[in-house]
Amino acid sequence: MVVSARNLAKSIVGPSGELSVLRDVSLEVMAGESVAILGASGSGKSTLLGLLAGLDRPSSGEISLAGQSLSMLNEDGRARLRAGKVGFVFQSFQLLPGLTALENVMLPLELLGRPADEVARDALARVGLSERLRHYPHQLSGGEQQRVAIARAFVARPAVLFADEPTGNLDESSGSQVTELLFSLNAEEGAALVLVTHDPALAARCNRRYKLIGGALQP
Amino acid sequence: MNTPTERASIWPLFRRALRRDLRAGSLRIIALALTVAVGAISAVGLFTDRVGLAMNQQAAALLGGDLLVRSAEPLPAAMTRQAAAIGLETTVSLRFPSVVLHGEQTLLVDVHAVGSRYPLRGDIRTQKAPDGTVEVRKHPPPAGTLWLDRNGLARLHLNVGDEVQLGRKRFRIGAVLRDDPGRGGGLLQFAPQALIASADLAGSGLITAQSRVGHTLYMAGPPAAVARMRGWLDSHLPPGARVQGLRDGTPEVRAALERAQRFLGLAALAAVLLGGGAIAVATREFARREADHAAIMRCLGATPRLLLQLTLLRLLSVGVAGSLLGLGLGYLAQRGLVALLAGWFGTALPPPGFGAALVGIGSGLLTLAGFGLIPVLRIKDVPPLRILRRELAPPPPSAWLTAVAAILALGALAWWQTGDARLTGWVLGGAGASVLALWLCGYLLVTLLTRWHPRRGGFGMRFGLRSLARRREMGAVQLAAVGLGLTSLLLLAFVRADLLSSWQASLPADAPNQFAINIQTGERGALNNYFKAHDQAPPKLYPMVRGRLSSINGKPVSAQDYADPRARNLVRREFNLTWAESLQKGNKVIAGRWWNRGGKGFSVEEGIAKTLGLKLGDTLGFDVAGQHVSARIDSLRTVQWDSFRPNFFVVAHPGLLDGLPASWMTSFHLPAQRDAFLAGLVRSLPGITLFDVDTLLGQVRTIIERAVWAVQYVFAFSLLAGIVVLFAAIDSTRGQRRREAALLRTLGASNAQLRTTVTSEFLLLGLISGLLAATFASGVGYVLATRVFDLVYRFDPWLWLAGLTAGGLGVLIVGLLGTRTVLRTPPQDVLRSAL
Repeated sequence: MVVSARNLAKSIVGPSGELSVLRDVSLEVMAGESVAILGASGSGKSTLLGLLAGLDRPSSGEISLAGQSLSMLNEDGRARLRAGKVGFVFQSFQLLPGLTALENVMLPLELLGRPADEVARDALARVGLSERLRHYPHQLSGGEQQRVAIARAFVARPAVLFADEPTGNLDESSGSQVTELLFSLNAEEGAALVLVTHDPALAARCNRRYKLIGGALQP
Repeated sequence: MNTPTERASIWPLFRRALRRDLRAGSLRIIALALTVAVGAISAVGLFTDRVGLAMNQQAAALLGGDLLVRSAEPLPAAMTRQAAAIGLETTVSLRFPSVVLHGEQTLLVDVHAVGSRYPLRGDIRTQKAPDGTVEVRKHPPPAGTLWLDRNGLARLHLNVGDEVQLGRKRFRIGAVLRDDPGRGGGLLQFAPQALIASADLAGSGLITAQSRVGHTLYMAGPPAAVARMRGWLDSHLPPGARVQGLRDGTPEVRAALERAQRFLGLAALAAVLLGGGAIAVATREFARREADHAAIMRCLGATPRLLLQLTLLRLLSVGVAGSLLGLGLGYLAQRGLVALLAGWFGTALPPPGFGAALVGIGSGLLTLAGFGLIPVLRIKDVPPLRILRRELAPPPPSAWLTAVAAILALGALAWWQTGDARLTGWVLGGAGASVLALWLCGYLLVTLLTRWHPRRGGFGMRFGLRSLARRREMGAVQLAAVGLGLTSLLLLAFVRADLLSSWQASLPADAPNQFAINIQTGERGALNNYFKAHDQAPPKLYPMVRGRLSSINGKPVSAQDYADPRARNLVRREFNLTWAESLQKGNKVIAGRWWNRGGKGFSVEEGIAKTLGLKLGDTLGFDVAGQHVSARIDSLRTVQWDSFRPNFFVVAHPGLLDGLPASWMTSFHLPAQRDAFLAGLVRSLPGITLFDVDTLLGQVRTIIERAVWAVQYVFAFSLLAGIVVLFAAIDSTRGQRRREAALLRTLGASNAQLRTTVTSEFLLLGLISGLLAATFASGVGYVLATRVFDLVYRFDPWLWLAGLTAGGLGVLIVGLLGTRTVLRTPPQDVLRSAL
């Protein structure tokens, strides 16, 4: 099991008091499996993704990632776990604007202290961007930027990939290209994929689908 | 027709915007930059204002009369008779340097011998002991009594009641002299002051025909009589004499103060320039952040005019607040300046006036307008469509327009500080060139670093290096700002010490350290015998004849013929002429011939010839005690002035000055602790005046040290302003840094890795600033040493070490402080569009 969440709850304190965002969420994801989480805007999809990836702490409940309980780890421990086991693809690409495509892809490997240059070039070749190594994000189209982000997500061979609306900012053609790439790489690498989206077509490509309604996860 | 928003009152909107500014701290960098800039200007302004006020208050009592005539020659009796005839009271005083003897100790003092009616105006203030109460006296000391100031008493370890010798007479110290109205030097006092009654001069041997004596005629009476006397003096003033009235104050001190004010003011301008830089960076960022807010306001119906008014009001509020804080800082800082220069002032300084405070606030607002107005004006141009398309931003402020506004503001401030258009031009040009040079060098170094891809070193170091490279434009601004502040401090801290020690090292160990003047022709034998009796080689004596330059090529000369103040001064004063058979050591003929090649006239120093426009072959005429001597210029010489040997502007052929009243002078080296030798010399030749060059050098060094401390103190503001630029630049990249930190955390960067990236970036930035500052300071020091002071410059490795350490550590600490909240950005934020 790559991801396991038990009885997760998350509430935040707002101007009008405490607000419950997630209630009693449990989820298990196996290696190589793909899971989609659907929900309307503000339903708590991104919050759940952040909790599962160890970016935030739940108010209650237990999460384990690649066999490690997150509650036992501090921020640095969670960061080390993410560096080795987790990949991310975001709706807004989140590439560093001052770094070239190659440098952006090298980042996760450099954080791990592994040789980066050759591996990152291969990763970019796999997403069809061998010709764009020295391009900066602003010199790339949206689709190309997302392909760089996918190359970065897979470059360190993660156990699980979290994708937050990966096609949300792309046109139809670029979106389907990115979707194909995401799923084919996922299949090749054997990583688990947890996908947050409000696009039913994208969700349909996954092995399992859940809906987040009123803070609770429903099949 | 007005839109509803134009009819609505702007004040509620303004209040809300101001509350938002205070909460978000969006204007705090601007306020901080203004505080530092106004702090620097106000510290100098308030300080010089206090000194100026003190001078005005003292002017009347300081003179000791309503009208004075000062001269290096005895004043004609006709002048005193005329004053008395007009109905003015008069009294005459003499002022001359002499040596006080106490046991085997000697001390050069400034003796003021005054008439029985002195002072005609003001009071003499004395004490029974240095810490006793101040007594007001209307008359000079009684016969046989000397009043000596605290400085003199302390240096000779004397108490009131002790006896000392002055010339051939013994005097009892009757009181501690606190304030002598006719002191003339006014506010600045370096040599100890002694006051005696002029009746005591008789038989003292203190005054000889060749003594350097200042004669002063004091006059006091009704204003109409004073005015009539002034009118009479216009046509009867002897050459070399000058009139001093209440309105003339103490011109030397005024001139010195003006020079100090200019210099300190220029030092303060460095802080204004850098503070302005911080304001420019911060207002640009402020305008960028306000764009979204302005777009929403535009969509809701706000006119560009309303947005402009709101923005200007907010800017004005921060301007006034920052300037007031700066004024507070300046007030505290000027107290530091007063403390640093405390020994220079004989009296306590009055509190500063409101004018200086207003000027401080005015400078703050001018700086803000010059550096910050152009960027924020663009807020009104934000298109309302930005609310739908975020990429629609107002056009960036024109760099040229921003620069012109900044230069105009800085120019206005520089002109106000210097009152001199040419100097203002130099200041602006120099500041601009320095900043540009530092910016360019910084940019080049950072660009070179971009090409460096170290394979070794952890992620933190490599990413930090890349961060610096990515922000190289802003990095170069930071480098220039911190570099300029550091350069000025390093230059003063190290180059001053280097120049002083190079200068001292350039003097041989046995360089003369004692000068003796006023040796009469008949006393030469006694002097030689005294030296021989004490196993010392008799020193070489030089004749000295005092004469005024009266004609050049037969045409009478007057000060009015020259525009150059130095030339005017030379013509007004008496020259020390000498004669010599052979060319003195350290002199070199550069034009014409020395006597042994047939010359029979004068040899003139090259510099003075240039100042007075003299050429080889010109005929110079001198008046020496009523006799006229004239001869051609046979040669021009260069002179090694810092050789500590007697040097002369004009040397005559032997025989040319025969029969004219002459005295002799010499210089010699005396090992330390030979007070008894000097005391004995003064006892044998009471008219002789000795100058201890070691002591003078010590005093000069103290003055330079203090003055440099004062300038350094003011320059510290420029370093502070440089730090504010650093903060402003960090603040302008805060959003970008937060985004990066959150993303890196998401990708698995640990706290330590994030800290190392920031540490590497700022440490590199600091080391480069330190390197640039040390290089620039050494370069300027080298030019000063070799071109201005004619010394061999020694490169000091400590300067580089200090530059690198101060730059590296300083920028690192400021950088870590400025980015500490950035590192705490939670990684979950990367999933939010807020980042």
